[in-house]
Amino acid sequence: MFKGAGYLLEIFSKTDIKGRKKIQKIVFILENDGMDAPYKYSYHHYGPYSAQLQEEIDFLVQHNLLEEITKNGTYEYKITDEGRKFSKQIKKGQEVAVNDDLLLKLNNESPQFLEMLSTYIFLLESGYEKESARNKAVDLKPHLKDLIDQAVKYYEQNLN
Amino acid sequence: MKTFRDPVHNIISFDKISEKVLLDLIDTKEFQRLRHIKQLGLSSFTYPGAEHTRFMHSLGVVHLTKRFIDKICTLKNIDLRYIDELKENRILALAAALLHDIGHGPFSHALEKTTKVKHETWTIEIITGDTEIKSVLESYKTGFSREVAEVIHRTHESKAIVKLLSSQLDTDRIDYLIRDSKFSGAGYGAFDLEWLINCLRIGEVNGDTEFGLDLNKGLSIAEDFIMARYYMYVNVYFHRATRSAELIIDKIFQRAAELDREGKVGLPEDLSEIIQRISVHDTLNNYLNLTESTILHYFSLWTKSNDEILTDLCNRLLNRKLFKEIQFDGNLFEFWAKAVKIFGEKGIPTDYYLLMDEATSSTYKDYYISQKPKAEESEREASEQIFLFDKIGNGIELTNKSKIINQIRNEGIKINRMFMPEEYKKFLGG
Repeated sequence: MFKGAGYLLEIFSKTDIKGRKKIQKIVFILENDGMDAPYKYSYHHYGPYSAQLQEEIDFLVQHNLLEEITKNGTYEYKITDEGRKFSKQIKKGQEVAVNDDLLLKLNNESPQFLEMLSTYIFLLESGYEKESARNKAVDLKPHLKDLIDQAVKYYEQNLN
Repeated sequence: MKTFRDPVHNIISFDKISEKVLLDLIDTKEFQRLRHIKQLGLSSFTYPGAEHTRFMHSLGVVHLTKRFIDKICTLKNIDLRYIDELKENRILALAAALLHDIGHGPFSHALEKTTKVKHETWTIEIITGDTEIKSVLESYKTGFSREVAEVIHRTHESKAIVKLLSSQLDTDRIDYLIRDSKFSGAGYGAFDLEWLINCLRIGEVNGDTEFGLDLNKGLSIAEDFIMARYYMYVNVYFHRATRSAELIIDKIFQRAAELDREGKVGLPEDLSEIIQRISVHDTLNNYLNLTESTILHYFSLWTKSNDEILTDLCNRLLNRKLFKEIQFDGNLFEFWAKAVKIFGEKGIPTDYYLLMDEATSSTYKDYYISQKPKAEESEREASEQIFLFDKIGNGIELTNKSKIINQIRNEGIKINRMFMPEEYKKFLGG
């Protein structure tokens, strides 16, 4: 129970995240890395996106476990004291393992880089071979083509 | 022509020459398997008529996709590139429509949790792996299987084709709403399909191709369509008895897998193979062998297992002695913590007997009505939007024109429910 909430609260207990796009991509990449969260992703304008994940975040905000702040059109999320308390409660009943190093590292990257990286990973998951995934990612995101080499390298070094 | 009679669309026909590839796909063993997967899973526990299959729905989606394409191609005053794009990719759109649900398994959601493989992953494997479907697609055109997979995964370059099958006004959703309404007997989901098709438009919004409805003629049908979705989600997809049954199935799988790991209970052999071998590629045939009948047979066997919890859960499901909702006032999380404490004191395993109906746990989703639109948003993401197009092709989001829909979207659907066996409710004052 509260599996997704458990993972999100664990993530936000480690760091605040600025921007809904960034949250989406970070959680997607962490799931790809083995985090057992329950979200489903489909390909949207900025790459893999889970409406389910956004719904869970809204649910946590609605119940005062996360705080949502809007600055210049960007949504920022922080865990509340209630959220920390509930996170501890959830962890009593189930294991909530998040790769902290990867989380913090990803959070230091730009949303655009995460968009390219997550798109590349999404294509690999869809059955593309590495070279085809690389080419397809550039087709889908021509405006971010300069980031593909960096994204592929990042994937090989940190996620493969 | 090859003709199917259908309770929703009446006649669904395929041209034996120009649409041969579609008929060949229907005849594959992977597609025929959809006859054994119910569209609404356990909804028949609540609505006895809801026994229709994913096979019927898939044919319905192809039929609607054809009608959408035909309608758009007869519109005047639209950019010809849309017509060219739709005509050029017609068979691709129809093949993707036919195969969009091909990866669904029996009790998909529960199965996904147990195997840790999402049905979308099976869909891609069935279309691009070693299957009859791939063989038919590749015989039609080299590389066609990958193209079909791209449409279903929304990464195909033709945005018009992608949006036909997957958007807020897509043929998948329209077919399942009408079909689910008809078979469940719950009339809420019915709406004027003929007028909706008549009002269909296509245009560009923020650089993306979008299907929408005519601003002058389509407002009422757009509202009707959303109201139908709203009522179906509240009354059918989120019905408490159906959700209780779905949550019990999750727990049966969880318990059986746990006992299987300890060597105390045997899972169906095909399911066991999938869990042990991990590789989707190596276990595709195991997955294709699984049907609802196979799983229900095991549930029946497990009513005689030596494990008290598994036996109890299977009996409850098969005899429809479902968990009941407990009403509570105040804070959900505080109530849950209290329930966990009391169940612990009574020696009741909370993991199996205290079930939360969480936002993320249902198979059926409608984010247009369940998520509040964000007032400020510089990060344009998934388009939970329905557009009305004016005469010169400007798209206006429905909530800007409809007070009813605006109100529904801002209210949203929030269902936080807790289920437990009836006899335990007294411990919590229920």
